[in-house]
Amino acid sequence: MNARHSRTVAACAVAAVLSLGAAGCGASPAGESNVTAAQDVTLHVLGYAFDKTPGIFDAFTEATGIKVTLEQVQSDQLPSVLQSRVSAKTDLDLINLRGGAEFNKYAEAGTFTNISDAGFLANVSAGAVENGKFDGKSYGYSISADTVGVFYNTELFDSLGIKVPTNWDEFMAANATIRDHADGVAPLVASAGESWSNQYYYHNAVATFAQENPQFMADLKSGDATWADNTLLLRQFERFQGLAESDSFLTGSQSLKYSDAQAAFAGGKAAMWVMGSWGLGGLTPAGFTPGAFALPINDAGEPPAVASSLSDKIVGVTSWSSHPEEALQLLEWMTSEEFGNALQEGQGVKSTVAGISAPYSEFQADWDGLFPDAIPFPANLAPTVNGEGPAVIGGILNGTLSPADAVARFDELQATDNKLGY
Amino acid sequence: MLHRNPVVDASRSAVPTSPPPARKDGRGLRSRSNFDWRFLTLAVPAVVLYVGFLLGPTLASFFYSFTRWDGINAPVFAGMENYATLLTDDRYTRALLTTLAFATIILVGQIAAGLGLALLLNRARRGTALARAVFFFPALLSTAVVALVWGFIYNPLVGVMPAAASWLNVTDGPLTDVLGNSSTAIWAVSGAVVWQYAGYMMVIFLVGLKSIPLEVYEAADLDGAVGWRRFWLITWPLLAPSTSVAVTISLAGNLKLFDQVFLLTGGGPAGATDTAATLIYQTAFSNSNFGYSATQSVALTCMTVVIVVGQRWFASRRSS
Repeated sequence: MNARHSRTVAACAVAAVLSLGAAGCGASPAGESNVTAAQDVTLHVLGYAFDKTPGIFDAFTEATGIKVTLEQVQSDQLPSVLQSRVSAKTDLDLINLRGGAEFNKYAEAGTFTNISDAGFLANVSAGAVENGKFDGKSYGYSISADTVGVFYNTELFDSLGIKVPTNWDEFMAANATIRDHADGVAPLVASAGESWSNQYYYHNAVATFAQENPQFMADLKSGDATWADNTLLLRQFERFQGLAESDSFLTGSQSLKYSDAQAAFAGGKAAMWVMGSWGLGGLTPAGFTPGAFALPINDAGEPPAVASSLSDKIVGVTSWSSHPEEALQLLEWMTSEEFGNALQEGQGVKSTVAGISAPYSEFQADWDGLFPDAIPFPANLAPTVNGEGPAVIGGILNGTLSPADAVARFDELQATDNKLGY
Repeated sequence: MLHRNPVVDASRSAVPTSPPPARKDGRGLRSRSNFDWRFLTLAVPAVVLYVGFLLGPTLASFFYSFTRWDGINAPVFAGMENYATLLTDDRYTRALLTTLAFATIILVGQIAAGLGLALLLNRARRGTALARAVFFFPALLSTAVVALVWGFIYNPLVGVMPAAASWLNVTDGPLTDVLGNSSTAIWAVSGAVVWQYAGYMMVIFLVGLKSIPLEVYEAADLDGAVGWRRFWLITWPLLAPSTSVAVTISLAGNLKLFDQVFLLTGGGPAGATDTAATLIYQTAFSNSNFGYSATQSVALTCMTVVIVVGQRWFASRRSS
């Protein structure tokens, strides 16, 4: 073989190897996993709810010998990561995702194993089980319960003689007192730089109206109702406009991120922060005790407003898991007190497991008072309204959108979802 | 006394003195029978990658643009519905205009900064290697790092810019929250992109500057063309090929601007910095509307191709 032919053969060999390598990029490792011996099982968990508890599954491994690899994804990156991983049916055994539109979409696509007959569902709250249902069947459950309200600086309120507002007028009066008398402290901090965080200014308005009008969400979907029919929403948008115009927000609220807002409240730069109870996780207030109350979406003389709750942080076993028995074992273990306590202590969120004793925060007292009456946020809110809706608050905040236009925007988004059949 | 136009002379020198000899049979330099198939074999990996990861997904996107699809469940054919929606989608139109605004601001900024740095280093006698490395360094950083750096600079609570504003006794207005103000956010994000890639443009212009024959400048000196006149009549025209490359790279990159906007403002405040790419991402992953997102992508691709090809055509026409 002369040198020229040698080069030809070598070139062909390299090309073939590279081609095979490229073709193999998309191959599923499922076959490999099937071969894995049962005694050396590693479960792969993908989720966003364990950022402060990366070793939370170690106790499960110690007890069962089953290894768990946790892939923690940033909350805002979860939709794209989940989309690609589920589409490719990659080596995943258990998924942790958001409730509502996100969970419904994947449940409809057959992503999860049906666990309707699982006895361990009795270990978690009825609401947690309800959140994991789709089309009448159980595919998962919520591992934590979250309530939305207003964090406030109790020491500052006391020093200024402000009582917890029980209606919107009192809330605005509290804002005015803080603005005028608390030197250098803004009444409120928002984090419109992450638009999802805006929705908590209208969260309990949507939840309350949906509860008072049980047919409303279904009518929205069928086109028999519009968001303009939700009088609480428009009123809440008008109130928010009043807040924005009254110079109540800390400078920078238009661009701050969630963590910035949490830090600003904890650092005493703002007296109040409208957020969910998950905000207790990682909250380190500078010399004051944070309290909580429900955002008062009622006028004086009306019944007091109650907080809203979320169907969030659902877990389910993938329908293509290579180790379905072990994955279900893990799902069952996640309904144990051991897991619930570890989640509360480490993650700073309230577990849905019954009989939990560990505190989820040293500042949980006020939030505990909000949980029992909290109205569940409708789980069937359409994805576009859910995704883009919070951004309208940003429009009101910077004065580019009127409350009426904001409601009209909601109806546009709903029309898009209805057309898509969500 | 030299009376020739140095520009014309220089461009003339770049043209081959005689065209390659044409073959009488009209074929290429190699006949078909002598075609070396090894080259085709060597191209197989690239072709596989190109088809698998570029052509295939592009064609798939075109297909999905005619469907209603949530990205997971089976797509439903929707005909021209998505395209009809696109024509009346004010938000997408605004995002396209914002994209064009970003592309224009960044293009001008990158060309000006890159050319300025290149001219500076072209004249410098000492420390040019170090300066080149320093100016090019931001281009080596990941966008996430750049966003982190500029996010800190702009942060309204602990940032450098609000601190500077405070030092200047400015307690209100855009400087206190540049990313949170609709009129300044686009400039702030553009500034970060310009900073990141100015060094990259500098390298392109430096190559162009080095390729300008010294004789041209010597002739210009004899003619008394100095300073701004020398730049405008000699340097700038002879940098046309470099400028064309820089403009193409900048336009192609920034017409699909996504990461810096996504990381710094998320499209805010109130959608003021939403580009077509960030809107496409939101439509797909936040709204689960992958079909319409594909339609938006097709429209953006068409716009990008038209602008970039148009720019190339315009540039080649000018140079010819």
